[in-house]
Amino acid sequence: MSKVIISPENKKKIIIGTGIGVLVIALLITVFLLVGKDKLMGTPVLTIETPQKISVSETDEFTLDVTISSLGEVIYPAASMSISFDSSRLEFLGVEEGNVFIRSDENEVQQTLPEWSVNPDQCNKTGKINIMYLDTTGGKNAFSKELLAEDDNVVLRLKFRLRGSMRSGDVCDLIFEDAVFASSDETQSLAMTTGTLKVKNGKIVAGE
Amino acid sequence: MKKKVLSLFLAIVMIISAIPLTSIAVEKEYVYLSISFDGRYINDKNNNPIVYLPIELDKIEKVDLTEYGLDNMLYDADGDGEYETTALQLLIYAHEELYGGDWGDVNFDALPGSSYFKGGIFGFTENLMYFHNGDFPVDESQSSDYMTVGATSDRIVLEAGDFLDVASFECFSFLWDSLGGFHFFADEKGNLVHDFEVQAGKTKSVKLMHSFCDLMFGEAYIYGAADYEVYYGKTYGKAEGTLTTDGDGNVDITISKPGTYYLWCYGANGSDDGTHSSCDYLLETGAPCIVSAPAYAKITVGGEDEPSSSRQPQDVSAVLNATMAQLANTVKAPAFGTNAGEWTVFSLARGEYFDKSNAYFTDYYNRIVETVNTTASSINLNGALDKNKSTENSRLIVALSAIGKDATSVGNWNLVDAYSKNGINWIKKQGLNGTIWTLIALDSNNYSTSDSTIRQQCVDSILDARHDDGGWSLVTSKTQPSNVDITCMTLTALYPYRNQPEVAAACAEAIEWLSDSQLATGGFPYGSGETSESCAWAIVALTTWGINPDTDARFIKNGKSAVDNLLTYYVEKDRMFAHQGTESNAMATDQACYALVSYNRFVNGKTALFDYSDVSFGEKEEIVIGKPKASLGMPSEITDDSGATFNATVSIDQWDNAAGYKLIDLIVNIPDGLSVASVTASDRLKSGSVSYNLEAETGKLRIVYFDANNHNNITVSGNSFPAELFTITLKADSAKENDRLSVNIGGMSIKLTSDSSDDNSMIVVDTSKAGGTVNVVKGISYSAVCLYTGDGVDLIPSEKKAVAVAVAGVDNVNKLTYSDGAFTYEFRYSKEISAKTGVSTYVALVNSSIDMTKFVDKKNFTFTQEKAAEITFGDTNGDGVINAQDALSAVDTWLRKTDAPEDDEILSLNVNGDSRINTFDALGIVEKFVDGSEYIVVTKAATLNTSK
Repeated sequence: MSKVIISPENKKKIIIGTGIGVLVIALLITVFLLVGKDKLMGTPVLTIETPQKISVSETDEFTLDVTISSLGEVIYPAASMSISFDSSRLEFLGVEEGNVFIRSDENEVQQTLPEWSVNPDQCNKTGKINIMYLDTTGGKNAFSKELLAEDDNVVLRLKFRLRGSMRSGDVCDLIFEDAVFASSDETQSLAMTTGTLKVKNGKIVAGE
Repeated sequence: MKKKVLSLFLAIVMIISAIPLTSIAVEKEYVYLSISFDGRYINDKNNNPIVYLPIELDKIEKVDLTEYGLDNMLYDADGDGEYETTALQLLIYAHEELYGGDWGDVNFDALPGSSYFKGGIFGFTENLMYFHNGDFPVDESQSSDYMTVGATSDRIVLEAGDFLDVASFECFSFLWDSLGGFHFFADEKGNLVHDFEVQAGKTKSVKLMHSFCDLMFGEAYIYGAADYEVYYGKTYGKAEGTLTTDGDGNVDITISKPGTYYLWCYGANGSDDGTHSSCDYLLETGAPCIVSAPAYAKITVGGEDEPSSSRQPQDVSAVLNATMAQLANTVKAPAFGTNAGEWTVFSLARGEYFDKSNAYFTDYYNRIVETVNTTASSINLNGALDKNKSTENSRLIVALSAIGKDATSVGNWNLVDAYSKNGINWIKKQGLNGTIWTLIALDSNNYSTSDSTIRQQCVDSILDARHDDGGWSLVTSKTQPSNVDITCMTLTALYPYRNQPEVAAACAEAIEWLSDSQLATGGFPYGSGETSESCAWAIVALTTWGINPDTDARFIKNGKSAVDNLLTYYVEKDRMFAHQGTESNAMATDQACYALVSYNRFVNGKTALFDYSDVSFGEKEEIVIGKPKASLGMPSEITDDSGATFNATVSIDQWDNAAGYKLIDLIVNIPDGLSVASVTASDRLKSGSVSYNLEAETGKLRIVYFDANNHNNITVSGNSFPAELFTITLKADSAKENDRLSVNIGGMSIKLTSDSSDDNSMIVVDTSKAGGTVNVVKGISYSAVCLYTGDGVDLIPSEKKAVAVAVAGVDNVNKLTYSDGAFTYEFRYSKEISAKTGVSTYVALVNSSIDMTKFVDKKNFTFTQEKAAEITFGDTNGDGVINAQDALSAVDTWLRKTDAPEDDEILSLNVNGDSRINTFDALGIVEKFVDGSEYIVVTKAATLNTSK
């Protein structure tokens, strides 16, 4: 093993470089604190949270959380998502409420949970979960950033049951085909198609 | 034996009473009478002038000449054994009933055909002259080719609509003075006219005629009365202006303010030619005598007065649609009652918010049937829904008729017959409200009544209740001030009876009173303040009478119209209206909503709010569950290419998911030259699977659909009908040019059980119209169908229509351009409709004036090699994905948060294929996304047979 020898000049460079690096990091921390984490965190992410392995002997229903990392500064009167799944091995049973609220009164900012439209029969028939929320008041009952819970941004929960054809070790992917949090100004919408919304797909892994 | 006789008698009475004496309302008939003396109309006993006064013919007929000892004056002109109604009866009636005289004081020579008044009648001292329908009456029975004999009162036969002008003069010189005789107003051809019409600010040319009959020489002359003074004003005798006729008797009149005005002239002196020497009057005064009769006519000045003519009617559709949406969302299941019931249904139906076949209305009707059966049985009063309140029936009839339901057959009851069978006393238990709403209900669908007089009894009762100020109120004292709401309801109820002179006069005054009552806010008073309800009813009444409440000068005060005022009560955050102030109120919202519906219908040229002549009452037959109809949609042409395919779609016009249907089967007759490539079930059909087989020998395609494994009920998703059930893909194996291939459904049934002995086990579907013919053509051919035409209400202009053109004989998707010399359009290729029909189909939004035949004419189309632009219904932003952004776009477009859509946007937004873009389209996009439902516009394109 050869010995590394640092010359006095190199030692000086290392000290200066380290100093600059520390300053840059300090500057970033300052900016982070001053500007706010949301802007620096970048594109919102819609995620299907992958659960622990599900036992193939499990016959009860189970749920997967769908979370949103953040929302923009505008309101979103509509939202939808399309998620493909293997309906021969999973039975989709519907959605359960999450923790992401919508306004229910424009003036008092009362909040309520959105009523998602979904048709499980159709989803199992097509192998695609299509879910939509539409505020027909034109924005009065919309999603907005201030209604997001601090640490629990569960938009909704997908409810499944394993079919008998599921075998231990099988993996069922849950893949976002499309998702959008729609604003009346489409340039402000968060959409997969425009890259303004990122997605993280989920999966269900069958265990013993 | 007595009992048997009595039973027989009672049976006969019951049978007779059960025979419906149904008939339509009998309208009164009138004759018109003017009476003048020395050139001025005389007054009746109430000091009102007897000038063109309508008198019921029926009342004249009842004057029995024999009771007056005038048996010899009875006149049977046509020898049919029936005596005619004559002017003598009219004069007797007028003398006693109008003038207030006693016939016994009249000195009358009762000589048939030569009768003569020697004095006493109407206080006159001399004989009478007659002018009948603008001419001197002739006694045909006494006249010959050589001699014309004037008719005396006993020989002037009166008929409905006749006008008799009676004149008397102090001086007898009218008989020979060339200026003597009658005057009358006439049109430019010299024909007698009593009612002129002109628009405010426009000039009307009127002719004043003079008719002179020279009794000395037996000659009659009619000519324009030159240089004669004509007066006009709102009240006879109170001139607002004077005009002088020209040398031909013409006078031009221009009135700037709308309203009812009168024209008149007085009788004039005779010529001072010394022929009056025998006249005592002349001798005493030294002045010529009056020798001619006055004339009179009404002139209705319509439209707007000049200062407000620039005001354009405002568009209230955004507020109206928001209000209707709120009502529909709030009142999800309307039921019998004032609140959340009939008024909401009425507003949404007349506002055309839902189709008549929408479940909102059909479910309401089903609830109503139950309520009526229970309530009417409980009340047990000939279909009455309340012992004292006839308005319970009226309100329900108004709502049911608005959704195309016949109120004479609701469950087990006839709601209309309650009026006739319970009579006017039951109706009047609610005072004026009862009679008003009875008329509105009866006339909504022109319902027949077993008592043919019931309408007129209501009209007479309403007229009797009129207040001295010209309006009406629920207070019986006529000297009390009238109430705007009740007056406006009355005006609305009386509109169908406006041909009755008393009604016309009363309503004209009431409209003036209403104008006078309007406040500086544009609203109308209620007590010491004003309410939105009063304003709402003013708008309903005015639009019913053809008066624009937003632009008519009579109803603009301080620059504010009635419509302006009503909109001030709109509470935007609630999408409702306030009664007063800013607090939303359900009843105020109901009334404001139908007032805006009324106004919107008026400005769009539709029938009035309570005029349901636009409602199809035949629809009820089509939506009765148990008699479904099938249809077969397919293109009208295919090419002669071997192997060409097209689709035939089987649809049904109704489905009851609660009925428990287990199986559908049908037989489709397939002609030689076609084979079946596939049969698929629609996504809307749930639970089962489809099987089929084409029997080659007979050409019969048998299709069956059921759940073979679990025997679940078959259901159809969605609410729109017709609903597509199956798509049959047909292949032209050996079709040749000019072949006509007829495909039809030979039979179809829906089965509930397997028990064939049960009469209720099966529903036979009406397939009588489920068929069509496909023509085989060479090369490219075109067929077209109109998908919808805009109605100008919600974002689709009325001059636009969507057209789908199916092009047979093309495999590629090239650009298709239409150009007929006047219009040019690039059509968009529709993958969805093409897949549905099996034929390449393009759509475009075009000018609605273009005849559909132009879209099947080859020479109007050009294909170019470029790829055609495509249209994807529901993909409003064209990003290739249908999602929440598109649904939101439909909502925002309807809310007018975005610019009015361009043609392509309209095509992609209007997914339900009606005449408007609204929240239904947004919901259509949601349903497509979530349920996989097919857009109605696509179904429509495929299920309508295209035509050449």
